Amino acid sequence: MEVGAYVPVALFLFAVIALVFAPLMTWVERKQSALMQDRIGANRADILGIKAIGLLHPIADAIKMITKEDTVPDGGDRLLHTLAPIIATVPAMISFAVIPYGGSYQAWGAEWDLVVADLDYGVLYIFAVASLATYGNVLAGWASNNNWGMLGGIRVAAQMISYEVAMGVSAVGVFMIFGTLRLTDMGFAQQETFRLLGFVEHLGWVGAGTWWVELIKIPMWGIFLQPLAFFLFLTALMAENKRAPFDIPEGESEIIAGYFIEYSGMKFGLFYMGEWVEVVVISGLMTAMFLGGWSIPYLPDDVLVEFLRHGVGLNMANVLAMIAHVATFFLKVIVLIWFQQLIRWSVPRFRYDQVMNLGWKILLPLSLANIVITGLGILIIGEIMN
Amino acid sequence: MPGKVVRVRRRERLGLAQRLYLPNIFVGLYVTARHFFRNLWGYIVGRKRTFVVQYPEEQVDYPDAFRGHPVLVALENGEPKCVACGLCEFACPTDCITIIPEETDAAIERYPREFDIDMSRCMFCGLCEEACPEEAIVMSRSVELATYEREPMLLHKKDLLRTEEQLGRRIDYMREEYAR
Ligand code: SF4
Ligand code: SF4
Repeated sequence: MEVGAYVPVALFLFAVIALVFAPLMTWVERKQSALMQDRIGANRADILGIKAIGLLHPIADAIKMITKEDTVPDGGDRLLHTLAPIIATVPAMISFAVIPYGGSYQAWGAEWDLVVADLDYGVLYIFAVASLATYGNVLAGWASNNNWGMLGGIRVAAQMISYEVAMGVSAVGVFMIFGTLRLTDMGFAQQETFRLLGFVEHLGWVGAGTWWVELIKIPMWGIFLQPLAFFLFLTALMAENKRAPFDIPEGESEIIAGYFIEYSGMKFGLFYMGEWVEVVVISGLMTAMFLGGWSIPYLPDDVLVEFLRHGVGLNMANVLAMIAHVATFFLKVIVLIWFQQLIRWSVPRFRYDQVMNLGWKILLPLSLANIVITGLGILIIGEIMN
Repeated sequence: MPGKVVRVRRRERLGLAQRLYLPNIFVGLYVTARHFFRNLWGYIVGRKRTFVVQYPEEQVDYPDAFRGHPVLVALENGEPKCVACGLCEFACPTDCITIIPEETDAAIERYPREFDIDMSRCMFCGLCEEACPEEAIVMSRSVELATYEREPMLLHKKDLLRTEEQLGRRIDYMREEYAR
């Protein structure tokens, strides 16, 4: 395990995600739901008359949250009550460390790896760390000395256990295809393309180089190789995120606010921060695993650099490629964030038993089936290729 | 905005698409996404398609049947049309009208020396308007009564007087409505 050579660059981007994307999510949430519901959305906060389409609301929110009174309920555990929001938020923030937002680039004799920690067990790290956040939520419910809070905490535990299983199992198909757990390796693997009709050539039905076989080329993205896993994984991750339609632990209509019912001020805000960072992490992880990471479709890294170096030289070409790749990555992340918000504001929330049924009776068997199908597929394709 | 009537026929057994659940989720996502992009495009080209009114700056023209708080109709000389008969005071369910009558040499013979309406109690029901034989108390279009104290909620005669022009179509509407 070696930490990337150009940590400052990586850390800078890391900071961008944690400090820019997460507060922006409040804006995205408000504005997108407004547009979807034919409304306008928050637009009143202004500084000297400048409203900036509601972009100042996150700042106003932060000021409000920080200056609010912070209460700890009588009979609550003061230490755990304070610690819980931190435990719930930090894992989401640090799990972005293994997600690559660019490949590796050589410029001026140095190697730039755009990932904070390039761990060879990358995805497992995210699974492990993300499930730690559950402790924060459970402790929050328990330390509040409140029945609703306790119920919320129990529900978090139940929901997380159910979906952790489906989440892990549905990702296995992707590991099998790419043969790695390291997210950067997955990123490099997804730059290739494959011919959808290539099998007719390998089976010897037509001669090599038939034009219509070459015609349909598809990037080796996880979503094309593992479409079922994409939906299963996304569903499981959204359930882990505890936002509507899976907001059983918060269940406003049943248990008021669930585990954070006794929270106020910035401690309350931290739970929301955690959820929003998680949305960004989910999008980043899905991008890295299923949407080709930083790669531009049909344009592998080396081809891009080769193309750019004619104009500006190798060093600059690398830097330009890096910028293009980071932009591509964030574009994909933004699309996925949009998609998650779309689901969150469209799909009605599930009942408690429905969530459990979906997790154990649908997602888990389907993801197990996905493993079998993937295994068979790999065997058959291997046979055809030889 | 009157829409066309849509009859929903709920079949007792769900079709395959409903039972599979997922296809219908995508239909739902399509609908919301369509609204999202249509509204987004509306904002970009500056022709908004939402019905939201940015209230204090933009205001809608209320329909004639709208009942704001009651006001007194003023004659040309600026005095109220009211003859202080007390019918509105009697009709008011919340007892929020207080009238102190006085005699006058003018043609109407009686006039209200004081005419107070306590807007913190008024429920905008319009019964005073209906009771008045003189068309002297009329529901206005104004509803913006919020204050920081209770005192300004008690409106006196001078606060309540409005000319017929200020009341607009309401008086015509009123005649039409109560003539039935
Ligand atoms: S509107 Fe109703 S409540 Fe208000 S003053 Fe008239 S009768 Fe009384
Ligand atoms: S009913 Fe009409 S005329 Fe009689 S006191 Fe009320 S406002 Fe005046």
